[in-house]
Amino acid sequence: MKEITLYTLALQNLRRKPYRAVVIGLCVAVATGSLFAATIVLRGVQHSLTVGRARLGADLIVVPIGHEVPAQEAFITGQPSTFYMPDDIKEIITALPGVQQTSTQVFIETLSNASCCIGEFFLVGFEPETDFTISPWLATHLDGEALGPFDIIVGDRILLREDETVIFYGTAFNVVGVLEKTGMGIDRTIYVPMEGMRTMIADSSELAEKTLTVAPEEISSILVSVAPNADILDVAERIEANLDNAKVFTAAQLNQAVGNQLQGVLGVTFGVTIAMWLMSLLTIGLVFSLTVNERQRELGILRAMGAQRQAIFRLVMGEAGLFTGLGGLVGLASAAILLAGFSRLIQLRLHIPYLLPNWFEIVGISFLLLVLSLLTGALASLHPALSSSKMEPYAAIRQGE
Amino acid sequence: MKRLSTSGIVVAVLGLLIIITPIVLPVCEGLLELVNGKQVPMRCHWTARAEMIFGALIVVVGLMIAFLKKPGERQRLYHQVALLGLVTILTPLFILPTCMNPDMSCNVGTKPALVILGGLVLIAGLLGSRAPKTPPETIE
Repeated sequence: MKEITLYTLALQNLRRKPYRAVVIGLCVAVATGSLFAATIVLRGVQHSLTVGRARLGADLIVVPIGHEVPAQEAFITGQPSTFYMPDDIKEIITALPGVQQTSTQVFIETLSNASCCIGEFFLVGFEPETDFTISPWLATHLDGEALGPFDIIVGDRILLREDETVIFYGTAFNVVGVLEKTGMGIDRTIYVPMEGMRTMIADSSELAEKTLTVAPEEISSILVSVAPNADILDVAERIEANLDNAKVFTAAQLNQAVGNQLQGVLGVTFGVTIAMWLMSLLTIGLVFSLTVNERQRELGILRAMGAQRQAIFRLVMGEAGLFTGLGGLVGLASAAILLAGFSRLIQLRLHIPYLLPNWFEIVGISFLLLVLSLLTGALASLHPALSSSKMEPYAAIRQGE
Repeated sequence: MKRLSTSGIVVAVLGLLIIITPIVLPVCEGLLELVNGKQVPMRCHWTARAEMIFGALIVVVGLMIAFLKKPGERQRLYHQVALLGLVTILTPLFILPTCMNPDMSCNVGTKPALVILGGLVLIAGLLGSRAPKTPPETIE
């Protein structure tokens, strides 16, 4: 004969009333799943910003006045945007105290029918001699080999791989490297040496469907590295004070821009999730109170058969733990599947950078949320469990009849 | 009135969701121009069409399960549901793959939704196709 334990009793109750178990499980699953998804998205954005900022390498970014928002959008999501300013600004900035290094960039948008890829992509012309964004990567991945004028480096989400040739505006380029994934705009960016970029611009009138109208003395942005002993904000103010037609934003402001974009969505998500937890707590508490009343006779008989008060308490708590634990697991698994499938859609719709956090962190968050779902069950069933354990066997059997 | 099978209704609803997925999360809308100048839809267009047909088949089989009485017949239909679920998953991945660029709308929305729904159909089919339980002997 099968031994009757608290676990088998709880399992039998789950099987006997599957609808009740499903309702409780769903409440917890929805709340746990939503919280898991919101937390992973938030951590994913933070992780992406950390990796992206490290890759960017610059402390300050100087862009033409009035173009700060599209510039930030370009760095965060890789949304192509083109704007230009005269390159003599670079000399002024380089001469300022606190500025350690500067490097200019030119932004161009690919045509929507470029040979590599459908849709517009971001072409960034950079100076290999002064650049500190791509060059550290080059040093480790290309064994310090010099970059030719038509050698390009592409972001992870560009459908090009090493040794492939691609034509932009009629000029052929050779892919020599693919940057590691950052989740930021860098992944959708194609880096072209300035010499090759200027040649492409000059030849576009003859070779391309559309002529590029960027003058040789025009640039789009200046990346600034601040000296170790200088204050970043002081240097930013100094640059703005010396320039009339340029605006400076710090790498930290990129985080702030993402924060502003996320604030509304995540605020609502966390608010709704907390409301769902409270609702789950109340629902589970109510369901268990009703269940305990309904099962007075059964619990009374168990007590009459010799079950201790503690055993009745553990039985009710165990059932709640089983329901909420299974609900939590289902919620975590569902959220993980949905997040894995739709993370790119979320990223594109919300215009946020996103890079999956490391696995230790994901396991840690899952474990904490599972504990939280078990605690919800324990908290909600505490009162019914206490009251059922206090019942006298005889009275319980009579009342339950 | 005869009671409908809940699991059959669930399968039919999943089929319906597969049909509406390319409408709610559309595939790429652009046209490709061939060398001869002819414009053709992108390949994900055909993925969506095929999936809508599979969805319709799943709805029909689901409704048949819902109305059938004999467990043996239902079990056979569940085998078909599992097979349709598998085909729904494999179509956007291998049979009629969506576009190459991972950032295109067919890849960010339609494909994951179809794979997840196909997975649910497959699970429903596998659960339903298990041998029906023999009722326990009752002591009179």
